[in-house]
Amino acid sequence: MATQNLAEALAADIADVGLAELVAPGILKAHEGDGLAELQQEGDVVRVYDHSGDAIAEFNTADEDFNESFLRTLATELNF
Amino acid sequence: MAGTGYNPYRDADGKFSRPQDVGQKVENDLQEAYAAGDFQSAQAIEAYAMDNMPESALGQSLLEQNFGTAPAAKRKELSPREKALKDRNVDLARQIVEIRASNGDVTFDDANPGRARRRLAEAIEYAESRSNTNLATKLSSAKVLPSGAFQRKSDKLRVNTDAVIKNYVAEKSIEAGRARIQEAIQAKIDSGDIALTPEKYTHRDDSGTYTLTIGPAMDEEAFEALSDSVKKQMTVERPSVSLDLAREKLTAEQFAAVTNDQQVMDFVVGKRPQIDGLPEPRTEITGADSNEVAMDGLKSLSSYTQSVEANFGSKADRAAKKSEDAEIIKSAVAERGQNTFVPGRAYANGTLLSNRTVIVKKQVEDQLSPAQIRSITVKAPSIDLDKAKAVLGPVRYAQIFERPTASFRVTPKRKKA
Repeated sequence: MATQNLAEALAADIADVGLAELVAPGILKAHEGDGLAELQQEGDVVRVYDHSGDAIAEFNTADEDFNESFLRTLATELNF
Repeated sequence: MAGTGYNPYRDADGKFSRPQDVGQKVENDLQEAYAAGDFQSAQAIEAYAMDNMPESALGQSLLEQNFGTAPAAKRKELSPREKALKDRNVDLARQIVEIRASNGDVTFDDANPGRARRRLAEAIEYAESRSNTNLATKLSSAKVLPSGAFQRKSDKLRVNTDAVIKNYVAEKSIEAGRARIQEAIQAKIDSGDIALTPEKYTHRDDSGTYTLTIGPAMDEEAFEALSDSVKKQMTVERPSVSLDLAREKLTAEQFAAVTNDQQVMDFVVGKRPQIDGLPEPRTEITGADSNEVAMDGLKSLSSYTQSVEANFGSKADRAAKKSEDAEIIKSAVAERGQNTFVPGRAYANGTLLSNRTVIVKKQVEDQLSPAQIRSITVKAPSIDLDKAKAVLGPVRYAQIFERPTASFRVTPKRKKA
């Protein structure tokens, strides 16, 4: 945990719960299909890149609905 | 990158090498350059980091120093707030379907059960006509909602399945245009017009940062073209936990403890909606050398992306709408607990929501005894890369498993608050 940022920790937990496969630190792959989500952190912002490499969403850790918005985006990209 | 004179993919002798962690190598090289008092090299390395690693902590810190953009987080232990977000993420992820179900009470607009059943029958017919037996089977056992237009009571948000399908088709069409630019660049790589070093090119303009990375990737078509006997020679059997065996051997409580339920959304587009305003990508990529060719490709991508955004909105806005619509549909269906077809108004169109149960390896390891784990373990075939290299030989192996492949990264310019 000492060298893991929040984005990588969130991705690892999503995989541990079984919602997607962790293919590299911070990178999740859908169980079926070409869905992919890469999570990156910059300061208080967690950014999500989709399977084509486009940044599709940014979430500020200070936002009240951080978890809900973040999970909703991943659920769509990774189809869970 | 071009012209900085620094390349982390070159070792001290100038030979090509692939460091395990490029970012770390760049940071180490920078520290060494400063320690040695070699400020010219340090400047070149910093230029590389800003051009090629703009999202990294180092790149962000340098950009902040030089251009005043936002600094990035350094790698560190999670703060208490981050730990709380991580814990909440796990809680929500574990219960995602239950949370949707509790929030899924909706009121239907324009409910028409007869028309809804006809759409389902057409969708089954369409899936069968396309020989998509998996989809046809799932549709055949599906319930159907009386309308694909509804409002969620909890937050008054509305969804219209026809609009969702139209957005889905538009997004696929946009992706296809973008793929044509990528294929044009890939053709340049395959023909040698873009050299493999440097492997990263960045174009920055008012709309954002566009990066082309050339890295090794599997050539799926070449792999599929291998004969079954060759594939078998590079296959090993690895232990894998089986969902079917878990269902058979475990108690209901144990099964629930080692599995996770999800909702999968499929689109059935029997009648393709008309999408207006799709821009034509520029696929004539030119340039006198690798750098010019790569930069011209990235300019084409930037131009295409901006044209798409002018007509369809930003990718972030489109993704947010897609997520909101999907979540409302999934929540409306979650409480029904089985395959459910959400009909469109157009012929044979709709979305299919189905349940997926996944066995979770970590939970198996945490919750079951070694004997129980053995009882639900099977041997599953898996490609072994060492065997593949031995069977194919190094040249053919590299062609199939390490094909130099183009990929893009697009980060829009952050809007000022």
